[in-house]
Amino acid sequence: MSLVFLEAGLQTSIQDKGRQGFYDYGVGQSGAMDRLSLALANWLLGNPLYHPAIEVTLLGPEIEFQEAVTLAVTGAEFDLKLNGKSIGLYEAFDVDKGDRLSFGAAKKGMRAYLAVAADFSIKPQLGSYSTHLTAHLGGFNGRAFTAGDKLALYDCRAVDEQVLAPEYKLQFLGDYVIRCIPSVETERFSKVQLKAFQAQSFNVSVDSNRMGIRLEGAKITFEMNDIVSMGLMPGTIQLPPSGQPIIAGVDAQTIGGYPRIAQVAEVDKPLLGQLRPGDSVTFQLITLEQARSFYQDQALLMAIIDEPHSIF
Amino acid sequence: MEKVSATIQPLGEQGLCVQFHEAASLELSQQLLAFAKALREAFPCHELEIIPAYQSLTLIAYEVSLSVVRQSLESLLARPPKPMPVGIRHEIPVCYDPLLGTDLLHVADALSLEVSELIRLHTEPDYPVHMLGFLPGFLYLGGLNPSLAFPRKVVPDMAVPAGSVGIGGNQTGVYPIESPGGWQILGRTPKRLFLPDSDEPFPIAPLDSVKFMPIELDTYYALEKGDES
Repeated sequence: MSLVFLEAGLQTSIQDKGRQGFYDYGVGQSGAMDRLSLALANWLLGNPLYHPAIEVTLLGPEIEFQEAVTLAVTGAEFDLKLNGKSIGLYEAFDVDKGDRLSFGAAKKGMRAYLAVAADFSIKPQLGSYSTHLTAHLGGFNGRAFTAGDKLALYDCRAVDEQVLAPEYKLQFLGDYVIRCIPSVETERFSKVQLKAFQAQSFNVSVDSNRMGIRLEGAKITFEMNDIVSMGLMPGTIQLPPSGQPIIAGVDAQTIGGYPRIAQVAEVDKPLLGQLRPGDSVTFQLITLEQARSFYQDQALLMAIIDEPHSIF
Repeated sequence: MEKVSATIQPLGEQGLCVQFHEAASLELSQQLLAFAKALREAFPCHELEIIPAYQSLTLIAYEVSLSVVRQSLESLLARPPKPMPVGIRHEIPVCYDPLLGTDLLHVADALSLEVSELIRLHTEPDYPVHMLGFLPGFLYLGGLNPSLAFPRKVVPDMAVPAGSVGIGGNQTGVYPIESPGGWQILGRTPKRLFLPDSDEPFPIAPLDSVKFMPIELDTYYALEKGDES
């Protein structure tokens, strides 16, 4: 049993929760850019929440199935079609042998997750199935799919389909407030600089990817030349000399040397995976306590899908 | 051991940044890696990420409470473990040929050095490994001769080949995998510093040291063909 990529899409790769414990060797986390959508897709099928799934980016693939299997798609709003007929996201559906699933282009949001009620015939590398694109590690031969690739599946399962209440469907409107909390160098920026950081809306640059989301706006002028390179984690907002912020993504380098103006709150981290070029982003600094409380509220969403309460 | 002085700051909801007050040195790295080891013994990989750097430890807590990590860290700082000993010395063959070291000639020219003198100065030291990071298996080396310091490229190269040996600012190092990069490339090694399918994916560890050994172009090709490790 396998699925075949008739068209690969812009950047289609296998992702799970990511790697842990290899930062000190220079290998970052990778994994799904939007973990919440990954978890929901798997939940719909009764899979473990961070079961490896296929992450689809902006322009999706067309896939042919060589056997019957059950699927679910969540995340960005793609024009999902099964044999040319529209089909909804956020619900489990069956495909038969010879069926073709196409994604088209995302109308809103950036990434969707195709979960399969089966296992992929791939091996974990450094403890994870996720594809680390720059390191050519994990996933399908360490790379994004290309047309003609055949991904073998095994253990196709009949599933006890879950239904998600409509109010929990995630929506991506393209204009976001991202909550963040102070980071190590935040206090070293002046009030004026921090105001410039929060008062404007930035545009998401076309140069954004899984390593980093580059933003464009009115330059924040500052000088800070004494930063010694140190550990960098996903969600850290760095301010390079260009004065244009960069948000570290899941494939970011593990060590960075630019001042950290803020850290994206956990509650808004999954959203980073949905930022697409041209979207507008405003930052709002909140306290650590507020961030924890917002995160608990989102954890309620995870609670309804009665699984762990940490999506770290 | 005497108490070690450091500032602990929160880094988001799940992280801590520990900045040591002492200047970067091999001795500080030995001390800081002893803290990292003690923390690893207390918290396995799925609970805590530990990222050592020149003067800091960055900690990311996954399935453990940050306050428990902080407590453990504070007691370690108050009664520091014995510094880690230095490790193994690795000889890394490097071919300094303009064919592979695409910036060799213009760097020598800009520094007003004969190419042979540039190679001599670059191969002279045993460079201590302070940490790994940036890319899988990338070594942060100390001890570059200050006369070889050279600014990074204004426009980084789109794809620097794996094994490229270069200089960026006052640092020198080896690109373990093909990657975009802004360092000035002096040569290339056939030795692989990241072997994802091997039992030992990262052959060089922090506190080991690295000595670059100049080789000729034909030796480079022979080594690259014959033995990629």
